[in-house]
Amino acid sequence: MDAINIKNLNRAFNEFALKDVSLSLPQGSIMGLIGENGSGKTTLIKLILGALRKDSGNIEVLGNPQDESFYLVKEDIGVVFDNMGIFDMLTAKDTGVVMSKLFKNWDKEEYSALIEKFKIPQKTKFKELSKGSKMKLGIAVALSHKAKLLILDEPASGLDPAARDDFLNILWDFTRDETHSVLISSHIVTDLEKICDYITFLHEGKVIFSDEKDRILESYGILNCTLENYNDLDKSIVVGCRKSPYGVEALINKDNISDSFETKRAALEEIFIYTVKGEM
Amino acid sequence: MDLFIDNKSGLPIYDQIYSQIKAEIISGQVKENEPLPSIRSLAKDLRISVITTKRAYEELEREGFIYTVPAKGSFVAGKNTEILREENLKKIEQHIEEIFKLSRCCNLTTEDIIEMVRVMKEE
Amino acid sequence: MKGLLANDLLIIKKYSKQYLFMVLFFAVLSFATNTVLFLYAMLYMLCSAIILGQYVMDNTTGWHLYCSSIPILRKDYIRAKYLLFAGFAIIVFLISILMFPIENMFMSINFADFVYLNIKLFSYAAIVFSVSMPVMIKLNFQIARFVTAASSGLIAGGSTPFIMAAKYSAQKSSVSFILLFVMLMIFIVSVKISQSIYEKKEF
Repeated sequence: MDAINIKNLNRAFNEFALKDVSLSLPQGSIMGLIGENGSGKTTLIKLILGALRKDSGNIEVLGNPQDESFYLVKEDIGVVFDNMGIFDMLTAKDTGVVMSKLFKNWDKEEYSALIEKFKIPQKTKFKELSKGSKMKLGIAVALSHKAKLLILDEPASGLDPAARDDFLNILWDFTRDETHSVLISSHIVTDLEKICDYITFLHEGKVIFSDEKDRILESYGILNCTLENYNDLDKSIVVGCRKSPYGVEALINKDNISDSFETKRAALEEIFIYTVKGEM
Repeated sequence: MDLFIDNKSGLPIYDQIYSQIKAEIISGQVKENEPLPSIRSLAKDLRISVITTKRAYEELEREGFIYTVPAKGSFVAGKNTEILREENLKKIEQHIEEIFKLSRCCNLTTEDIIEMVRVMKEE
Repeated sequence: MKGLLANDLLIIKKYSKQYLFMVLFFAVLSFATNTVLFLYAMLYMLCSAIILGQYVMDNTTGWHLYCSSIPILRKDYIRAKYLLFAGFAIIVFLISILMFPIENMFMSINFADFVYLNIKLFSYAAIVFSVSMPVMIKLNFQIARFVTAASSGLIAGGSTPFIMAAKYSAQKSSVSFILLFVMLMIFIVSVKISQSIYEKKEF
């Protein structure tokens, strides 16, 4: 069973549209969702949860379609949104009380243990917590009701590298269980490159690629060459390039080329930048 | 088993794992039928993708270094005799190099050495 | 739905000092100006303002969006709000009955008249609330704040005729009970309308 299965999803807004988006997140995997601001990542997550309605297409979460009983699937989903002012007036303790009445499988001990492990002050109002603590509280809630699927929207923005490392450790531990899956959207592409099994790249509402991370990294290469050599290249394999007075650096797609070029391994972040910016 | 992943080297990570496990098997540091960590726990402990470790294990299995029992896991295969033979041939060549080096000091010819080998064989 | 109620109540509790201060302010004002009856109009208005305000606050905190990740029906969100209003309003009504002896010291009004008046004030406030909720949910969030303020004003100002009438003549019980019945009908219809509007909303 796929944790998330999306086929030909379409949703149009006034100035933006998600077009023909398809992806599947196999159970037990971690999928990273990358894309620029406004590319549709948060929109996609909202569509998955039903906060927004789709125009057409099919969405299934943990095997369940989005019908009247879809709300029950939320018992098994843990969600962390960015800018969570959600519990502004409440303390960590209060939040635990509220959540215990909202989720069937709420685990009080697990929540207390996580609050302690993350060193979140119990009696401080949420809005007075540091950004890192707010995020960790959101994660504590998401992890305390035996969720099988975690959906995270920019959870680590505003965290220092050490806190991000803590955060990645949490995800690694969560996915030791092969029935646990994660969908995480983030700008910190380097983190996603470390942890993800699959990567989906959204650009202007369309899926550029959605594939195994290893395969994606093997499909691209960085080529450093002179301007003349660059001009002789078959441009269909060039994703983007950066020209300087001293030469050209280009990202090429190695999938269909017959010649073997001397290419360096491209980092996911470079693939992102060149795809988005094209010729620079 | 010691495994080190170098994120910065150009080598694909599955290749690094494959090579290092293979080396440990050949050198005998892991014994025949010894269980290997599960694909999942290896990935999580090394902080890499499960797909990567799966690929490394598949490669090792294809080359005959490990075997997988469904629902039980992966284990070190019996030493591949071809490889063992190669290893031993290499060791013999090294010894012969030694003999040649020493014989030069005593001014022995190749025939002398072969004669010595025959004599020792008969003993 | 219990969780939704718990959430609202816990948040309201955090503001309880402010609300209590307002209650005290109204109380002092009304006793001092010898318009004790006004106190209850204000209290019903407060019930409405608190709940409508919670809806607006839920938007500021992103709670509406977060609710799409919790196993609740959108209907339940609306039900919880109406239930809270009803609960608070009933508590105010009961308190008013209990406080009658003190009222009586400040102005002579017979108990029956007092109860009928209270029913009228309660019903009037509930009707204004029932109309304000779906209007507020239908419009965008910026206007929602305005609706909250407007409905509070409507309750406060609109209660005046009822109170004036009570001062000068005996209350007819039939009017009170008809108003109560009309209010209940409007209240129930309002729940349904609010639910269907909220169902279609996007966050």
